[in-house]
Amino acid sequence: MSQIAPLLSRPSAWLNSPGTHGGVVISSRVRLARNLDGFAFQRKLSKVRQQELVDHLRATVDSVARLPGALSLRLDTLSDLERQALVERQLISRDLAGGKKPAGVYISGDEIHSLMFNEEDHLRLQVISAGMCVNANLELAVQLDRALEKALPWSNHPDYGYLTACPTNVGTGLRASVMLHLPALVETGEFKQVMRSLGKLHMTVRGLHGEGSEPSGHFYQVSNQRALGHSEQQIVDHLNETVERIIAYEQLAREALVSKGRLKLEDKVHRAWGLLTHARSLTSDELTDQLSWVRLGVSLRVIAWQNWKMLDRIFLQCQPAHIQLQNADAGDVEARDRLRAELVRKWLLIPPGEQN
Amino acid sequence: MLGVTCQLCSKRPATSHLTELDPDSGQRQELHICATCIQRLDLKLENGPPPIAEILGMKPDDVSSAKIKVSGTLNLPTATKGEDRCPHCGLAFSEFGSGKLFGCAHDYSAFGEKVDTLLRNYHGTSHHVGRRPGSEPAVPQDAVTARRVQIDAALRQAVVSENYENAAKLRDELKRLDEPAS
Repeated sequence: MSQIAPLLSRPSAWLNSPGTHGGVVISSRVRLARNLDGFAFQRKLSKVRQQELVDHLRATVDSVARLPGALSLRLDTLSDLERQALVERQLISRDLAGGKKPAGVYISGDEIHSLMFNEEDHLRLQVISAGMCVNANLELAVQLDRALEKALPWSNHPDYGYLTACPTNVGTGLRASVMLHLPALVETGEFKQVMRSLGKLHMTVRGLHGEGSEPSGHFYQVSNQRALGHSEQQIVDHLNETVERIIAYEQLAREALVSKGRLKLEDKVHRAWGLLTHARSLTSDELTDQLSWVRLGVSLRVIAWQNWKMLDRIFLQCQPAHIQLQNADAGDVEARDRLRAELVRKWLLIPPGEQN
Repeated sequence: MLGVTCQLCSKRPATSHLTELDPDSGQRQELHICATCIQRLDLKLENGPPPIAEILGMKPDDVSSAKIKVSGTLNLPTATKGEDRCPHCGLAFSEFGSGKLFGCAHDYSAFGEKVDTLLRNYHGTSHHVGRRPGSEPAVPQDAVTARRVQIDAALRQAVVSENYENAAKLRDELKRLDEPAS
């Protein structure tokens, strides 16, 4: 049985729609980058030393963190599909999943904490949860970091703070982000304006799966670009303030869609519903795009169907690796797309009251 | 990848194929090498290959650089002769450019002024404010640090807008702040 089997079928920590702000905010995440004194960074660390590093970090985290129900995994014992499923659950980065180097991950039972070993930095400590809660996430991350630093001497510098492999992370080692659903801003063309302003505010916008991923289904992650020169709290405050403004702007754009383009909006939402409840084959991208419209429809109550939990379930469970690991007959792409369409039809059409 | 000729000797069929992605530009670099060249350059591929730029920088005597062809564009950040290297990990500052990653924590001190400039360019400052190992989570920002960050930003602005008179003033103020209080 797969080592990650207990994870697969359950909901994810970062998906609990409508989250906050009428479904605009999906999740919040912080991560701290840390490196251990006495070990070079990855590009100059031999494979033997990398294994030593991973073993040392795993053992220390296991004994210090003591998070309930935690899972500690060696990446080399996981199949490509299992790694991909962890990416889909946002528990490891695509870099870590695709790498051939010794690596590991420690995941708390609730999937809120995830600690990656031998990523670009020796340790990447992530706290992720649903809704607008960057402050709480930062508190959890710092709490764990404080416990770890008693056993693990982190590289740091009197001027530059925590040292990281890439100088863009130096200082606090903090990247804080909020994942947003911004269909109205995108459809009204206002999002370009938002992107330009965010650049000036030293904020970065990424797609659904973080670094290097294409935006799909109107989902965007907004995060701080600079990690040095501001305290952790200042960085998070700045992010919160910026995100609150984007949310308000998205809500204005939604109002405009409803008041000025209601027919077009209803048409889009119901077409998406029709497609999802009738398609016999669905790619992952198509599902994300159409689900985004249904999500907007639920949020604005332009369709009668109001089942946030089911939206989350489809969003998570219909990703490629999740389908493939849980269905023996989902071997090739064609079979997977067929199965995806089947699951979506079945789940969307469950009558209210019969949901589990 | 069958039938690709080694890009270092342009003679033998390549047996190893390295791919690198520049995280900033998304630019893909490939290098195909044969077993003989791997041996000659003493490349320890099983320990994780060195950056492509580094391999090309090795240029053994009997390989003419004219024969080296790399698909895609590549800025050769070969270490210039006599360039300072980090005494701990051996990285030269020019090699940093290839992957935007340092080799070890000592690089930050080894490349002094260059790192400082790099950090100022990206973060707008080179002074850390915030947690340190052993410190409490919300470090109250003392007035001096706050002022330093402020001046730092203003100084950068002044230099960019070529307002050197103002820049000189700010630099003096920074110096005064850095002097130990007597």
